[in-house]
Amino acid sequence: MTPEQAHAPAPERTGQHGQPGQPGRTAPLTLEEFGEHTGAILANLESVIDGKTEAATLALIVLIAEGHLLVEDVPGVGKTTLAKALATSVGCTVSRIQFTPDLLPSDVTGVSIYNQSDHAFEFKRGAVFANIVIADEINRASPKTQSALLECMEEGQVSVDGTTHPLEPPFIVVATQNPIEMEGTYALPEAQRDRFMARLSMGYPDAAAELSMLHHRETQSPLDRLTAVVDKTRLAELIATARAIYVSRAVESYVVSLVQATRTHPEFRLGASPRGTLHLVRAAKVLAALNGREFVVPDDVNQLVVPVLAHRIVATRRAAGDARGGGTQAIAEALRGIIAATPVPLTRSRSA
Amino acid sequence: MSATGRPGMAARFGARAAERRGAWLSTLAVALCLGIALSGLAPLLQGVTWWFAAMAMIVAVLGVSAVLRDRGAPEITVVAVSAIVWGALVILLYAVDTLWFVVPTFDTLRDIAADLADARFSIAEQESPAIAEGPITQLLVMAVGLIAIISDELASGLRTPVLAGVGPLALLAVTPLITEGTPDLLLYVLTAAAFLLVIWCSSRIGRAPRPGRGGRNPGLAVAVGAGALAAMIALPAVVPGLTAESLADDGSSSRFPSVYSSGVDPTIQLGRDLRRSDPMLSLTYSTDAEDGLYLKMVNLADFSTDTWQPERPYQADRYRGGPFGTPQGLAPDVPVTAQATTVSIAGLRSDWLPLPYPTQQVDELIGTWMLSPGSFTVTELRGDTQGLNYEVTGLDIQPTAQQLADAGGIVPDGFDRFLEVPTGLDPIVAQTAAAVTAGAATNYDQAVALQEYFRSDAFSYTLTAPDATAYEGGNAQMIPAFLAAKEGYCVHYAASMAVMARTLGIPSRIAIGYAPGQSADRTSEGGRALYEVYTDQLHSWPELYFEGVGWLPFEPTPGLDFTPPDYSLPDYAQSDAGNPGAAAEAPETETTDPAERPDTEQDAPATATAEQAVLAQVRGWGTFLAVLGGIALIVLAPLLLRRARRARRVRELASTGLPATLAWIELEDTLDDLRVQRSAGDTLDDLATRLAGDHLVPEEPLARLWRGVEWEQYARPGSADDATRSGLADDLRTVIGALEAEATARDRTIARLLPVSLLRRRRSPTPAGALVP
Repeated sequence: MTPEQAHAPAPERTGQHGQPGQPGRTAPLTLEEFGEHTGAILANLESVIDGKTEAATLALIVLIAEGHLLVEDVPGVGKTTLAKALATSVGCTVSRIQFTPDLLPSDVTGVSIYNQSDHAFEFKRGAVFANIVIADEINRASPKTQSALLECMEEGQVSVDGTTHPLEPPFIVVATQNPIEMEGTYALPEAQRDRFMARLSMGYPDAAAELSMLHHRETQSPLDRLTAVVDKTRLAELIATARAIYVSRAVESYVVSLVQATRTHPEFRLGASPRGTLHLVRAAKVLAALNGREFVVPDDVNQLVVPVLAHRIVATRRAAGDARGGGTQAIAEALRGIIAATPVPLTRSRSA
Repeated sequence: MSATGRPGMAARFGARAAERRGAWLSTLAVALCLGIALSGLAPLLQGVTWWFAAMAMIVAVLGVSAVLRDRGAPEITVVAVSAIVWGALVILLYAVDTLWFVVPTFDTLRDIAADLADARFSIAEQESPAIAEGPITQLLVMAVGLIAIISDELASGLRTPVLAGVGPLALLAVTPLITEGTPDLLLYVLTAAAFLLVIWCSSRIGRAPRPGRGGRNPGLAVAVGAGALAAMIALPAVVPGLTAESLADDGSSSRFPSVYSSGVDPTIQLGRDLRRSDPMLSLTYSTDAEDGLYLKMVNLADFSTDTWQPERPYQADRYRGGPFGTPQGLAPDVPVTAQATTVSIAGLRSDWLPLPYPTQQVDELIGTWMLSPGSFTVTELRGDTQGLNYEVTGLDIQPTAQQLADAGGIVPDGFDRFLEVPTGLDPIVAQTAAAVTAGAATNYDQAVALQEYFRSDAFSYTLTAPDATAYEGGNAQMIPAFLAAKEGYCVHYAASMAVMARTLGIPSRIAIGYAPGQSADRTSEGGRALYEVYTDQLHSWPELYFEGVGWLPFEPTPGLDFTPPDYSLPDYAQSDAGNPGAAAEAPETETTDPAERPDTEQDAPATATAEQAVLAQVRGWGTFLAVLGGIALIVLAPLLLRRARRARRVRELASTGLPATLAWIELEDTLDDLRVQRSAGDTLDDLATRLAGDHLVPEEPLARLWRGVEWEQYARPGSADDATRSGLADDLRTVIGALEAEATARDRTIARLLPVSLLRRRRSPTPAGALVP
C-alpha cells in the first residue's frame, strides 16, 4: 500500500514542537475570538458525526493542546470520519496511513533512494510528513512499524540513515483502532499508548441521530461538503492562546494528587505517568479556554481525567477480569472514585 | 442458617444471619461488661443474691436476643421480643398473683408501681450497705434488664459499640455518687477491658466491618464522655434533698447530703444536728418515772474501724411483741423498778427506735421491727419512725454500792469485742486513764473517777470547738487532741470515756440517742410528766458493763444540765443507806427551763446566728446557681463559639485578601452544621449545583459566591476584582438563610447546639506530595 501523500508543506516554524508554553507569553487571540474559531470547528465536526458533542469537543481539545488522539471503538461508528473531518476543518496538510501487517517503517517515515542523475542518495519523505496524520487501524501494523511512528509522535522528527528530519508543527496523529477483532493484530504497548494525549470512544449514536444520518447520507458523504474553517496560522494562534491559560498552584497540586492517587490505587497495576500529568494540565487549559475562562478550575481537570488517564493505566488482573466491561469500565469507575475522594484544594491565603 | 419455615423467609433470614455472624460474641461481651460493672454496687448492698438475680435477668433477655439475632430475625423483632421477655419475667417474678389467667391487669401495674415506691423508700432510709431486700432487688433487676437490652441493641444490633458503654458507665457511676471513699480501681480496669472486648467483638460482626463504621471516632468518644460527665454533675442536682442549705453546709462534711441516707457516720450527723439553728421537735414522751429518760437509739461498739459505725443488726430477730428478756448481765438480786413510758414521735425520721435502756417490752408498735438482743436496740430497715406511738415498759436499775463493788474486774466470756481499743491509739490516752484512776480499786471506782475527771472544771462544753481545732468526732484519732484541748461536745466526751474505760479493762460502748429533754408545763392524762425532746438534744453517752449489774449509762459531758445517774457519783456509797430513792432529786430542778436552753447550748449569739444563716443561704444559692450556670455554659459553649466564629468571619469579609473564599468556608461549615451531605471531592460547581437543586438555595447569590471563590483561588493573582466584596456578606446571608429555612426545626436546633463544624479538621491547603517550591 502506498501512503497517500498530500501536498508538500511549506515550513514556517520549525523545532519547538511538543514543548509546553513558555511562561509570560501573551495570548494572540482574545477568548472571544478563540470561542468563535473553535465554535466553527466544532460545528464542522458535529455536522459529520451527529449527536456526539463530547467526542467532537475532546477531539478539538487534543488538536489545540497539540496532543495525539487515539480513537478506539467498534467498526462503523465513524472513527475515520471524525479523524477526516478534523483534518479537513483545519486547512493544513493531511495524510492518511492505512496500517496493515506488511506495512514497513519506511512507508511511514520515508526512505533514501539513490538518485542516478545526481549520484547521491535522496530522502523521499514518508506519509508522516504532514500536519495531521490519520493512522487507521494502527493495531494491525507490526510492532516495528508502530515503533517508527512512536519517534515521530514524541520527538516531532524523523531519523533515517543518520539524518534527522524535523516535522513541521502542528503535528497531530489521530490513530484509530478496533478493540473487538484482535486476531492478527498487535495491541499497542503501554509505551506507545502513553504518547497519546487522550483516548476517545465514540459509542453508538442514539435513535434520532441514527435516523437523521440515514436521511443526510442518502445522496452524498458529509465529508464532501466540509471546508476548512481555520487555516494553519489561525490554528497556531489558537494553540498559543490555549497555552497562555493560567494554571494556579492549587490546581497544579490538585492534578498531582489525582495522578498520585492512581499510582497507589489497589485496582491498578500501573498508574498514570508524569507525561499523563503534563497532558492532563495541557488539555485542561484548552477546556478552560473553550469555557471562556482565563484560568483552569478543578472542574476542567475532573472532566478530562477519564479520557486523558484511562488508557495509560494497567488494571490488576482481578480488576481487568471484572464483569464491568472488561477492564475499561472498571478503570473509568476507579478513576471517578479517585476524583470523588480527592479533596479539592481551597486555600485560605494566597501563597503564590 | 435457618433451613426451616417458608423458603423465601428462610433465604431472607439466612442472608441476614450471615451478615450478623458473630453477633452473639458481642452480646456475650455486653453481658460480661454489665456483670462486672454490676458488681461495683457491692459496697451499697449486702450479700450476693441481688447480683445473681440481676445476672439471671441479663442472661435471660440477652440470651433471647442472641438466639433471635442468630436466626436472622429483624432487629426490631429482636428488641421487641427481648422487651416482652423482660416484662413477662418481671410480672412472673414479682406480680404473678395479680394475673387474670395470663393477662396482666391493672393490679399488676399497681403492684409493680407499689414495689418500686417501696424500693425508693427503702433506698432512702437504709444505710449503705443496704440489705438487698425484695423491692431493692426488684428495682435492680428491672433496671439492669432494661440497660442490658439497650446496650446489647447498641453494640450488637446497631453496631455502635461506643454508645453501648453508657450502660456499664451508668452502673459504675452509682456507687461513687452515693458513698465516699476510694472507688475500686480494679473494678474500673476490668469494666474497661470488658468494654474494649465489646467494641472488638462488635466491630467483627459479619464478614468485615463496614468502612466508616465502628472505627475510630474521636468525636463520638468525646460525646460519650461528656454525656457521662454531665449526667454525673446533673444527677445530684436534681435528686431531692439537695437544697441550698445543704450546699451551704459549713464544711464538716465534704459530701452533699441527699436522699440516699449515707448513715455510715452518725456521729458527724449528730454534730450537724446539734448545730442546727432552729431545733425541731423530735418526739415527746410521758413517763411515770421520777426523772426524764435517756432514750437510746443505737450503739457503737466496734472501735476498730477507721470511722466508727453503728452496730449492724446482724443478730437481730424479728420482734413480735412480748418481753425482750433479761438485760445482759443483770443479776436477779439487783433492785429494779418498772417504768411505763408512752413515746410519741414527731419529726424524727430514723430506722432506729428511741427506747430507754433496758426496755422490757414495747407495745402498740406498728411495722416490722428487728430486736438486737445484746443492746436492746430496735430497728426497722424500711424505718420510718415518723408519727409512731408506742408504749414502753422499762426498768430502772438501782444497784447497791456493794453490788457495784462486787463486780470487781470481772469480764465475762464473749466480751472481748467490748475491750478492743482502736488500732494505733495514742498511748497518751491510756496513760491519762491510768493517771486519772490511780487509787481506784474496782472497775466501778475507776468508772466513777473517769466521769469525775471529765466533769471537773478543766473541761468545758462547746459545739464550735471542733471547727476551730479540727477534731470533729467520728474516730479515735480525735481523742488525744480532745484531751489536750479539753473542749468539745457529747460525742467527744462519750467516745473518750468509752475508749479510756476499755484501756482500763472495763467493757464499754457508746450509746447514741436523745437526752431526757425538758418537761412541758403540762402533764399527760394519767398524771404522768410530759417531756419534749428537740433535735438539738441528740446526745451520746458511754455505757459501761459491770458483772452482775449489766450495762450502766454514764454521763461524762459537763456544762449541760444533764444530771449523772446517782450510782455514778463518788458519794453514792455513802448516800446509799438503804434508800436509793432518796438520792433522787426533784424532777423540776433537773429538767431545764425551755427558755434557758438555747443560751446554754448555743454559744453564738442569736443575731450572729441569724446573719450566718442568711449568709449561708446566700452562699448556698450562689453555689447552686453557679453549678446551674456552669452546666448551662457547658451546654451552650458550642453554640456561642460557633456564633462568635461566624460573626468574626463576616467582619473579616471587609478586610481579608480572599473574601469569597472566607464566605465559602463559612457556607461549608453551615452545611456541616445542618448535616447536609457533601463530599471532600466536590468541586465548587458540584456543590453549588447540588445545593441549588436539592436544597432550593437561590442560584444567583450562590453563583456569585462560587465564581468569586474560583477567581480568588484559581485565577492569575491580582486579576480578581474587588467590586464584588461588598455584596458578599449579603449573598452569604441569603444563602445561609435559605438553607436554614429549608431545614426542619429539629435539624436547625441540632445545628445550633451541636455545630459539628467546630470539630472538623481543616482541609490541608496542599495535599501530600504536592509540588511545593
